[in-house]
Amino acid sequence: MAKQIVITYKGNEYTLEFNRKVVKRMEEGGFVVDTDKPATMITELFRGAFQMHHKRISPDLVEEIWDAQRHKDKLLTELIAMYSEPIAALMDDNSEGDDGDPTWKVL
Amino acid sequence: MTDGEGTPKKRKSMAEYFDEAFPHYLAMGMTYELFWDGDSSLTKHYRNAFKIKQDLEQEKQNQFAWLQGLYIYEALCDVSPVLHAFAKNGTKPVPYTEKPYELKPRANNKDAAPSENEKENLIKRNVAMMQMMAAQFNKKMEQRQNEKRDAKSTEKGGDKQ
Repeated sequence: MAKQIVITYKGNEYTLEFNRKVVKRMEEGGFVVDTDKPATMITELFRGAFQMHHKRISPDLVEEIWDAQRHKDKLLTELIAMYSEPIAALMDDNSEGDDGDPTWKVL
Repeated sequence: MTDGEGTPKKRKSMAEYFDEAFPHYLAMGMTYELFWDGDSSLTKHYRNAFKIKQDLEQEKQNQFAWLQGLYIYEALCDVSPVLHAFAKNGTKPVPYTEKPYELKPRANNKDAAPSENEKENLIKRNVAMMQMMAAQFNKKMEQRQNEKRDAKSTEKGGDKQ
């Protein structure tokens, strides 16, 4: 199952998730994961995460929910990971069952 | 990122990857709704299921080829009495099995017992096999005797000289 984030705000539960249609629409709307322009990206990414389960939510409410969140840095990291899930799930993971070291490292 | 000639190389968008992959997943049995609107991780399971399906299909084809080989082998055994060089006049091939092999065990023992006809065919087949083996054995013995005779005659010829 793809990763989801659940936010409870003013007694309502909101499920944040990305599917391929939402990612495609966001890209068509000009969205790119660009850490050089975090402010624009965060708003669009957070708004996009509502599109799968809460299509009719107003942009103002999304902004309100975002403002009410704590640990935004962690939330953003999770959102970016979730956004890349639809593409990651299309890639063949050849390392399944392979205990060898990864062929990459984090700097 | 450039293509080596200074012009920026266009990065492939996620949407392009999705569009490319979509027909493949349709071929695997995934619906439009599941691919685009559903849980994005489902594609992994569809890929795994497809691999399992392919393995099973391969196994099935292998079983089929083996069974076919068995029928061909049996047919050759059945017809073998009339194929060998020393077949007597009037020799007939053993009739080919009247029905396919039972692939599932029978429900009760009464059914499991072979019919008279089946028994007769089995005996005929065994007799034909025995005859074929006997003919081959006789042929080999005859060849050995001829070889011995030839060897003796060449020895005698050598002694006389």
